[in-house]
Amino acid sequence: MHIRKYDFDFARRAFLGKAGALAGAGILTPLWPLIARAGDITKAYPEELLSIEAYTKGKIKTGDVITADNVETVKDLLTPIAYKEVKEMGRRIRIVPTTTDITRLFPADYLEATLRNNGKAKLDADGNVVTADGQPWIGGNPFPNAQTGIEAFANITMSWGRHNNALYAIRDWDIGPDGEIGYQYDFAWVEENTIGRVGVESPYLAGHEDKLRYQTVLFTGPNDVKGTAYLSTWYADQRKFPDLVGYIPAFKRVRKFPTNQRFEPLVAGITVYLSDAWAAGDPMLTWGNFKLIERRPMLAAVSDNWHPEHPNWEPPVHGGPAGKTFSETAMELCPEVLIVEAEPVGYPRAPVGKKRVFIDARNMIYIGCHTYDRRGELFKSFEPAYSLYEKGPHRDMTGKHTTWTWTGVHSHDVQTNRMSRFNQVKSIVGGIASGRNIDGLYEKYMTAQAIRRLGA
Amino acid sequence: MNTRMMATSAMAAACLSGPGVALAADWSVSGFVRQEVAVKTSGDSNINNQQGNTYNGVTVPNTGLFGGSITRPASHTEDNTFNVFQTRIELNLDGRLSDNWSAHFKLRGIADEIGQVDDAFDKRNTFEQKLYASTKGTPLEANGRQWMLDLPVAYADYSQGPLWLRFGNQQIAWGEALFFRVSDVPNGLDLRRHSVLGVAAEEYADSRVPALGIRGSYRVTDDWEVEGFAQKFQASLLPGQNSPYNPIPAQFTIQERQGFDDARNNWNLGARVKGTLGAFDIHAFAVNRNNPDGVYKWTLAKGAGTLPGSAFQGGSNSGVFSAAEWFDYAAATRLDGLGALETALNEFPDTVALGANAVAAGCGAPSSAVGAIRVDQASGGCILDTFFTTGSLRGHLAREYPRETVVGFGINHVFEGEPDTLMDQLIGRFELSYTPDKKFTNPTLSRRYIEEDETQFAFIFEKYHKFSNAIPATYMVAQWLHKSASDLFGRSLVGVDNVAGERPRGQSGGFNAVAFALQQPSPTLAWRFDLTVLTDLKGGWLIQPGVKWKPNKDFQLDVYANVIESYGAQDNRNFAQGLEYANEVFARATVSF
Repeated sequence: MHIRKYDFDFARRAFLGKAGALAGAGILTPLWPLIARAGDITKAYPEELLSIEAYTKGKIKTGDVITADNVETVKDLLTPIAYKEVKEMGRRIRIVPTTTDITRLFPADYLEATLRNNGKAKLDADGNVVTADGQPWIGGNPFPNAQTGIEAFANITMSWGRHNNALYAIRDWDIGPDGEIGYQYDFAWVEENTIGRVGVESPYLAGHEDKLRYQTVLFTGPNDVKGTAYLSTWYADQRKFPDLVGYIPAFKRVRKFPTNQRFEPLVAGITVYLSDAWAAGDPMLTWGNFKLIERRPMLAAVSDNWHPEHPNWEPPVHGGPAGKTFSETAMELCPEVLIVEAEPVGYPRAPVGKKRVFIDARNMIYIGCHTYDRRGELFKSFEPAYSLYEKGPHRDMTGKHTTWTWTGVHSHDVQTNRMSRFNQVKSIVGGIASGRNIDGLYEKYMTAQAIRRLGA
Repeated sequence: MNTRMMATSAMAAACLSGPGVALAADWSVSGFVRQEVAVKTSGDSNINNQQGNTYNGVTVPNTGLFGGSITRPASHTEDNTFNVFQTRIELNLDGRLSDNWSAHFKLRGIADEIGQVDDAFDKRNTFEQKLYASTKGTPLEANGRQWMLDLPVAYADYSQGPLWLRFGNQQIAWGEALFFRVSDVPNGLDLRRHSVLGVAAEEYADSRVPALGIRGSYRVTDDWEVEGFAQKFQASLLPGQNSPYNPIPAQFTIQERQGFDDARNNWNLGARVKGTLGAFDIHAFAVNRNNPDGVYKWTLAKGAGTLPGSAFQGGSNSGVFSAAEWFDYAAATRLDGLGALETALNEFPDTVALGANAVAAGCGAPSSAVGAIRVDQASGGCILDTFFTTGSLRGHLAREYPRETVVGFGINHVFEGEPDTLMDQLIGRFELSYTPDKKFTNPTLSRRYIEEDETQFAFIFEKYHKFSNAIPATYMVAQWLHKSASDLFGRSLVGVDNVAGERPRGQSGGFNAVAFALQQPSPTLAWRFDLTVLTDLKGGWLIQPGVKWKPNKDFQLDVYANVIESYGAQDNRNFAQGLEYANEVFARATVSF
């Protein structure tokens, strides 16, 4: 039985107050002390923020599907582009219960590190995240109770996938305005944090303390891009551009590339830019003017989005002119979402004028990102889905724990109405399978030697 | 099917919907079918082919001892419309055998249909080379004169920690420069398909000829890597006689066998160190190899009609018909027409019995002594026409592959600058190689090759610059190549600046070439506009504009033009003179699967 002493507008009024005060997460009580004590968020929020039924006064219930017919009820809970997709393009969103058990929103080791290291992070004079004694970050969300825009950005930048390393086998479909699939790619996205490592003896990968991560994107299909790979070396100093080397099959060798052109499609037809990755695809301090502009509840795809019923974890699709534009997505009511804006101050010719990132206060993962063009018009939505990888008899493990990771992304350029939807699948052409915390991943994928070997 | 494949067969169905076709989780097949067509935009024909010989049907005075005139048969002449008309299929089979092992194969099949659409090429030999067996250019190929099937990729990879080994038939590409092969020395080129005139942005991906061997690398530290290879010798391959891009005049017969047999069991060896010093990436390498491009010299002719003990063969009606033709073709191929005659007589003592010295004396040669004939333009022409009086003569050349050692180094650096400025993320590269005592074909075709140290270096600047936030960045690269002893195609500079009937004046100061290329993709990358410009600063220009269109996942269309122009005095000083026949528009339509 939850507290009913708060009237319906209590949450809205409370959020309006918080935004001005830049207070921490939680309405009834601060969120993180509660999580630290019990791992449950229930007491931090009134019922209207934990139940879609309560929030909509019974108009929408768990299990319902949001369609064009009922989307007005939840319009204020959706991003503008998600609303447009449902209202105008036939997108459907299945409603699932709000997750109150915080352990279902994190990889276990990352949550443990977030709790253990709570309060140990600071931004140094340059704006980089360090420990209190100025050492590289030691793991988990540095600012679980982020109270500024840059603190929230630090949470999504310092560890993208929240595992020490991960190999995401990705299948991508790129859909044109006619709703038909124009392009299709298989690629591996591989990342390894060199600092802020969790669940291991040292938070640092020895000898790599000046770096933040290595990251490789390797295309394995179709034939014309097979073997194309780029390796980024990110520095801990977020003012510096990553180093970038690439293997282009035509050249048959690894060459160095400039790294500041981060607002361009990776391959023909895809709407995804390097800058889009994790809504934090660029070094944090190459952006600026961070603003925490709002906190509010939203619908987000943070649970029940894994599709083991498909042998390759590919979700059913629907919507758009040809019924192929959207992956099936489940969303839940997130009681508190931080809305943060930033501007690409380090990229004078970027087509993006600003981005607005929606960050779930419970786990500080981004649940959506909108970019705007230089005129201030909506440009793209980069909307992820996450899940604990368990469903019925199916379960995927990362070490001893059930896997928590992302499952898919809708990347929608609304100005050209081109959609790239891609999913983390079990494996892709080339026999590369998804996995996390894999021994030897750096050697196998994230060196110049490795991308030369993997190149066609 | 092995156990692992069986166990994963369920995955096969799952992956069928994806790009490529997965046979099982660990094996995949992909590939494409492509039609390639090049239409000539020039009125010129390739003078190296019988059908394009500039002397076909031309009557010239016989300046020999018997007088009269000589006419090369006009019946050889046939003009062509197409330069390329080929259908290509490529099949890739990639297998992930275990965590450490993988295997990769590429089957490449090409049908050359140009003879079916263009009578000028109905007698061509596009693919046959007398290296392996009687017709093969590489060990893993089957071919005929108008088709080839080969395995340019057939290797297994092993990786364990910092160690990587690759066994099998493989290309090895090194170097900072694109197109300019300063450090790209491990492999030769197979130019039988579109010569060096394909899409410049694809560099030598299709033409760098693979070789059987082992390549290994070990990452000593995160920043330093040592690499080595041992590859069985593989010769560069040139287009066959009377084919569209044939670079060797069809009046010659190239005897490949002896020189190739001498080298075929040799191994090329190379080592390289790569690493980072501060903000600079550097590499240094050494390669000991048989030069895959080879060098040429006169050799004893073989076959019916041979003039005994000489490099000449008569009776074919396809050789050189006149002194004028001899001198013109010598100059065009950067040979010394007078010196080549002297060598063909002096280095073959049995030509005394053919009356060479007597003819030389009769023609008033400055020297007609045995083994020391010296000629000038008049006496040389006289000697040649005297011998041509009875009909054309084919010259026989041997190709050999001298052993050489190439050492070099390269460096690159990413400049930092204010955002949106020229210096911002400008990549500067430099590389240099040095080959001591490198052997070059002597323009006299003497068996005494020119031996000279060669230094090559290249400066490269690359920049991605965003001119507008509405379109992706423009890629631009500028390169300067310098070669101390040879031209763009590896010919000794001694043979450059070459007027027919005179000895070549040669080129001092080395060879220089400047290239500039840019690529401008469209916002979705469905279109890419290319422009490549190459000049040797001596009046030779190659300009290649083009566009690539990839409207969907299965189809791609490339349309490019090669604009080749030779400006200034036409005295064989620039690389373009003699190549104008390759002015063309070419298109490639590709369907991938």
